[in-house]
Amino acid sequence: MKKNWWTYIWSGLTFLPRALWAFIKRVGYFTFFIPLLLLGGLIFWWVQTDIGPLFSTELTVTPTPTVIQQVNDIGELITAEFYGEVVHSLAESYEEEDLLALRLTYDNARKAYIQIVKENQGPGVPAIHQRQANVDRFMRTPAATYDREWFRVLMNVLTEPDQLLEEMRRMEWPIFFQKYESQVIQQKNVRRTQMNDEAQLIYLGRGLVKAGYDLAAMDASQIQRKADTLYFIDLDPQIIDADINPWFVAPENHPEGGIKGYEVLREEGYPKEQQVKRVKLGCKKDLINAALELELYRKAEKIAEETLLDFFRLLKAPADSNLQYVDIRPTREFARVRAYLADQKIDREEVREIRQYVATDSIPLPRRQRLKEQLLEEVFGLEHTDGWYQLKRSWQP
Amino acid sequence: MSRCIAIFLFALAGLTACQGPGDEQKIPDERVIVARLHESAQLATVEYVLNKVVMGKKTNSLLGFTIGESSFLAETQATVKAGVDLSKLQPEDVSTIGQSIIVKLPPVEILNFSYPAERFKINKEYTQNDWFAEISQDEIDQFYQEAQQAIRKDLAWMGIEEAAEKKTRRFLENFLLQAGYEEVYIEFQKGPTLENQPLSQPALPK
Repeated sequence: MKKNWWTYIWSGLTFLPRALWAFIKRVGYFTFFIPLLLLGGLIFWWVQTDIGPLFSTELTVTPTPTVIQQVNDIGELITAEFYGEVVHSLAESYEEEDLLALRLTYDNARKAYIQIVKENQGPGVPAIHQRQANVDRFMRTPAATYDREWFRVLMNVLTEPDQLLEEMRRMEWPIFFQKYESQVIQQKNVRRTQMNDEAQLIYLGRGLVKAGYDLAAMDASQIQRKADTLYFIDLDPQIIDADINPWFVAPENHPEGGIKGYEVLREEGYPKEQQVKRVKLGCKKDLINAALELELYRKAEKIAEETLLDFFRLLKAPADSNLQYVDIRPTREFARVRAYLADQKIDREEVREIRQYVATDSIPLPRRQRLKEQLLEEVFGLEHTDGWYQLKRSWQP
Repeated sequence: MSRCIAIFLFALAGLTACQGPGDEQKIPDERVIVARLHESAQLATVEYVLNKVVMGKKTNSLLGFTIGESSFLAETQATVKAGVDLSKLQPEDVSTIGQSIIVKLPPVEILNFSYPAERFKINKEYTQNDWFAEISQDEIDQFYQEAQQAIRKDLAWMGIEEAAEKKTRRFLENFLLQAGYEEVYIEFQKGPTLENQPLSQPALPK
């Protein structure tokens, strides 16, 4: 009989059952089925009795001592609290990092190419040859070779190098990104997929951000009494604490068994420790951003001022009996940043002023550094983390 | 210095009279689910930095027999701040007789408990993930939750209460003497001991 392809498929599919049946016949029915029946009976008996679950998982924690490492005297006054719940994923945190890396690569490449074009400009060379020479020279620069991985992503956005470089020469990153956003995102995602990192993690974070004043950093010269008003000069509100703890509310303090600070919403592919930290840190940054958007500083300032006077009436101190007003004045830098951000945009004049202000030597170094960090964070979307400026999540180019 | 601190401190105690419900506002960010602002008046005077080793084990069993066991070890650090919640100070807690003043401060509390993920470091030499008992991230978080509760229980013997009372008393005495009083008596009201206070921070959303 001629065998057709159905016969082969059927033989393949039935191979295992046939082999099993042949095995049973060889060892004998009793020899094969009795152990199976015994095992089934044992499982049935186990399930019927209260010995324990068939399959169990147990987590145990070994008690360890809590060691005091340091005791510090502080003087922090907290006048406003923010409670928030945020969601942050590993993909989002990569998104921020990738966009920052792309932007830096773009800026470096653009700067290098503009320099090359400037140096190679000369009479007597046909434009087409000149351009090719520029591209060839650029491809040997560190901007094209050092940042190769990210530069390749940009190269895939516009596959012709000379076309890409001309576009880069003409426009800065925000405009380029706006024009080629979908292509950039697509190429960026292709690169991320090629890195073969399948881990996924999404956390829900619940926590508190507290703002107030660090009184320990203040000195007597910052207090001035004029007539019936007490002034606190150069006293900025600041974020005192921003925390998302493992437990937000512990089980013993909550009728439904506690509220977690961090709650895993999705986990795939066993994320690494650093990836977990990255997402948790992302949650915390989102929490701080949300608090700032709700004007946490302003609230902290307002509460402190409003309530001072009420209390002096309560205190009835002999030396302060004539006090009628209390006025807390932040530093000029803090006030300026607030003014710049008041209308949600920065115009050219303000940018010029900011640059000049940051550059001036009349501002003491720590304050200048603080102002710079604040401006980079709030105005340009960068924030200072572990010695690096990173792209802030909410910032859009 | 101490004068200004005390001025602030006392002034904020007036919050008692003007505490209102927290401001609530929806903010335009899809990643922020809940956002609420609250007023507060807390003075933190002592900070403790604590180290804790978190050691855990996961055991998977079938029919009572262990089929897989994984171990976990991490070095962690917590920061605890203690002080007084001035919003709890009432007008009747301050009494003056001539040039003497008696202030009954609210009990010392844990004002902030910070157990940040960035201060957790898993010991890779000790931590072993068995194929039959792989520890998930959720389970690692459970180890940290247990550790947080253990630290909270340990706070009772660390002398935080005494340290915070001493520091706060010093602030107030200096201020009140400078403010014109000749005799100053500072007392602390009785409250729940530190280990019996709620684990999380006060002013939780309702």
